[in-house]
Amino acid sequence: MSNAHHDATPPAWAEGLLRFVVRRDHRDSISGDLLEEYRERILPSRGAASADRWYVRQMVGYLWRATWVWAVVFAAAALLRDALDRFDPPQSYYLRSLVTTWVAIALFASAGFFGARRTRSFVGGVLAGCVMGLIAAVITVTASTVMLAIAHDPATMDAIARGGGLDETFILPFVIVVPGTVFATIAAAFGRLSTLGWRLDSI
Amino acid sequence: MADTLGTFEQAVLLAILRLGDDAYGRAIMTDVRERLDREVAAGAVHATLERLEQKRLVHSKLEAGTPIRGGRARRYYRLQPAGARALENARHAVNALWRGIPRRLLEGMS
Repeated sequence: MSNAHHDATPPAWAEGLLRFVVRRDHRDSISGDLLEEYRERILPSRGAASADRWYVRQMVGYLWRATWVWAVVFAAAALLRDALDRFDPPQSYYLRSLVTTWVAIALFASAGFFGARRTRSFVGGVLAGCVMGLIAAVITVTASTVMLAIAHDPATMDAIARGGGLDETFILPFVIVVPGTVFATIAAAFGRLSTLGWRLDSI
Repeated sequence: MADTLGTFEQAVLLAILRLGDDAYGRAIMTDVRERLDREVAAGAVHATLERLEQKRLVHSKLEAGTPIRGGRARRYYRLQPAGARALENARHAVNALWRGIPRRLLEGMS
């Protein structure tokens, strides 16, 4: 192995994110394992660009494992609401909106709280909430598109229009990530505090 | 009741057993990849190690890193008695499934 490979480094942003996704007490060992694999096997056999992509894929894998359960539950709740609004439109959307909002807040907060507890990192919790929302948004929009492709008769389109229109279907899932991350941030602070006990110096 | 191990968990535990004193994260990853003959995600190996440690089937300790890994510590894993028992149980379960199946039944089918 050449010295060039010995000194090579993966994308700094990916390394930085990785360190917030894994448990605090495993940060060094896990990022060290990845760096060793990157320098000793991946880089010499695949070249710099491909090795960087490999590293990013590994990092995304850690992010996915940390958040997919919350994301799937969130997406399922959003899709259930979407399907109900399309196929069983109510007189008033107030109750459904109330339930959906609180479910969303609870899921963002849970992802943030448990993300911070698992990683023992405040930033790890915030990241878990934000990524959970983004993954859920992608799943929701994809599934909504499929539903729209299957059912787009005038009655369904009218129900969609009365429920907020296509903006609500395709833009809201991404917009909601912003306030959702605020709730995740608050919950992450509590999650981190819950792991500290009296050792407030290590926050 | 003893823990029931999945195939990947068995692969990781067997890698730890095989590597002995050299069983740290990346070495385990390499061993599992070679034995399963496919690429394995680092996250899958680390998540499995974390789970096995939570189940107290393995124990880990940190040791000094090397320059190739930027000096970052290596986490070495060692099989615990409960881990050895779980592996034995897994082997017995597979052997029991195969008992009474003569090799000739499979010949000519694959």
